[in-house]
Amino acid sequence: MQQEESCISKMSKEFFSVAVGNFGSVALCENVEYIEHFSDKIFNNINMAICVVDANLKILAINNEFLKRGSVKKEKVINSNLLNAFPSLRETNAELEYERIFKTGEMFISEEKTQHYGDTIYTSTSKIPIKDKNGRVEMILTVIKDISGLRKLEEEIKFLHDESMLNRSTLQDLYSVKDNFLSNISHELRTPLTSIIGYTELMLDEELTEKQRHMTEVVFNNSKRLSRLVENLFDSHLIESMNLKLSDEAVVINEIIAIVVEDLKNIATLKNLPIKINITDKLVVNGDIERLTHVFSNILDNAIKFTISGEINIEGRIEDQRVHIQISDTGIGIPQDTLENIFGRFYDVSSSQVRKYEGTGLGLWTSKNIIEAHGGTIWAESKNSGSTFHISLPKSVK
Amino acid sequence: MMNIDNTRKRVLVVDDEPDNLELIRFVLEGIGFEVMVANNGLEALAKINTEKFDLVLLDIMMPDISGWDILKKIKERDAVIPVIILTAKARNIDKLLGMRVLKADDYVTKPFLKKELIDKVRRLTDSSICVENV
Repeated sequence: MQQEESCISKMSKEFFSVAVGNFGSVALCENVEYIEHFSDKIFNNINMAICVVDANLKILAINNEFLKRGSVKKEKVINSNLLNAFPSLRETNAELEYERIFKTGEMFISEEKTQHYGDTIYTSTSKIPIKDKNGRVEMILTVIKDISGLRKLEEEIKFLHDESMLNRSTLQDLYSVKDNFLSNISHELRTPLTSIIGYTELMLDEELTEKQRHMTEVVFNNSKRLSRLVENLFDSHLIESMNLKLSDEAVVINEIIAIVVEDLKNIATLKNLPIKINITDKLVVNGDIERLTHVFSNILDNAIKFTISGEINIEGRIEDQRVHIQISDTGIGIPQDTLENIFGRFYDVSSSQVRKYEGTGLGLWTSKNIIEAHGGTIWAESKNSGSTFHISLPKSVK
Repeated sequence: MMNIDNTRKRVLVVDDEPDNLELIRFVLEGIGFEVMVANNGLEALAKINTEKFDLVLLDIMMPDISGWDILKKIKERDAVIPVIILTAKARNIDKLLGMRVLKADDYVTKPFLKKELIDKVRRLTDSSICVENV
């Protein structure tokens, strides 16, 4: 034991700076004096197996962790041959490795996989040469660290990575299935809608009682609303597939607003909401008339939907070479903290509360994308007394 | 060639949906047009070959012949006759193809409102009178 302690003390500085440094515990290296004082405690309690051998592989020092690797007592192995004390080391060619280090003076690091009572144990072994003042290798310090936890983590990460790659490709497949589905479904929905809207409109030309007329108008208004929802679905599909190819014709916003107001007038009248239009300038932009119509249709539809009483105001003017339109309602308003989110996908302010208002949550998202594709901006302001949606588009220069 | 009733415009509507054919017939007859219908591409081509129309309303998605092929054949036969594409397909790329490359005269997306259809039909049939008179 006396011999072992002196050996430890002699090497502790070198050992800790190399071994500990090797495993990255910088803090331990900083106070070598302190380490020296407790070297025995540290040596025997550290969770690394440590052993020092001389040129004949005679064990000069060994810690408790290393002893756990065999079934021998410390007294028995000190001064005995390392390979005799731990025969399992022969299987891993340890002898050759030690020979090589004595010959070359170079540190040797390896990783091993061993079975220990049915568990697979991964270890990392550093064999560090300790040289005398002439540079000759006099002893070898062996430090074995159990890296099973690290390995298991690595395997788990690899598994998760593989799994996420698989999920990703599944998602991509689903994505294209969804794209095709959206494209097909919006086409399939339009065909019956054409008959429903068309015949209902023709029915309104017939001589009807007041009650029949009212009922037919309800069918008509709701089939048009259904049609707008399908348009949003289709637009959102275009946005997603980056296929938002806009035509570039001169579009008169005044006309779009007149069409949209005409279209939604019935519902507004039923709710007793006057729609007031105050636009004096002729507002012309370049773009896609169908998509822009959807935007104004969405915004006005929302304004009517969320307003119980009061009125809706549409104002428009030219400001700094831009066309600015604002649509204000006297509705329930939008909470300040959600104003930024309402243009997100599938967002509906009321969805967090009682779901009182229908909607796919696509309307504002598609509107924002369409307006931005036209080089414009859309934003909202809200007070308790209602909301105002602003749309700003570059004025046509043609 | 003169029509029997020279004030009544003749329109051919091509669509594979019987409900749509009837709907368009009702709308256009309501404003005084004479409406002929074709249920498929072959029937449409046969009618175009034998009769004269002031306007063709053409659905693009049909089971036998693509509406684009019919459009090409119509324009080969008579480049002056106006054709309105009528379709539930509303991709802008389709619109560009129809309007610019194949020279359709207008485009109505299903579902449509009566006024939209009537406005487009009137605009094209009125201007075709002007063209003929000039």
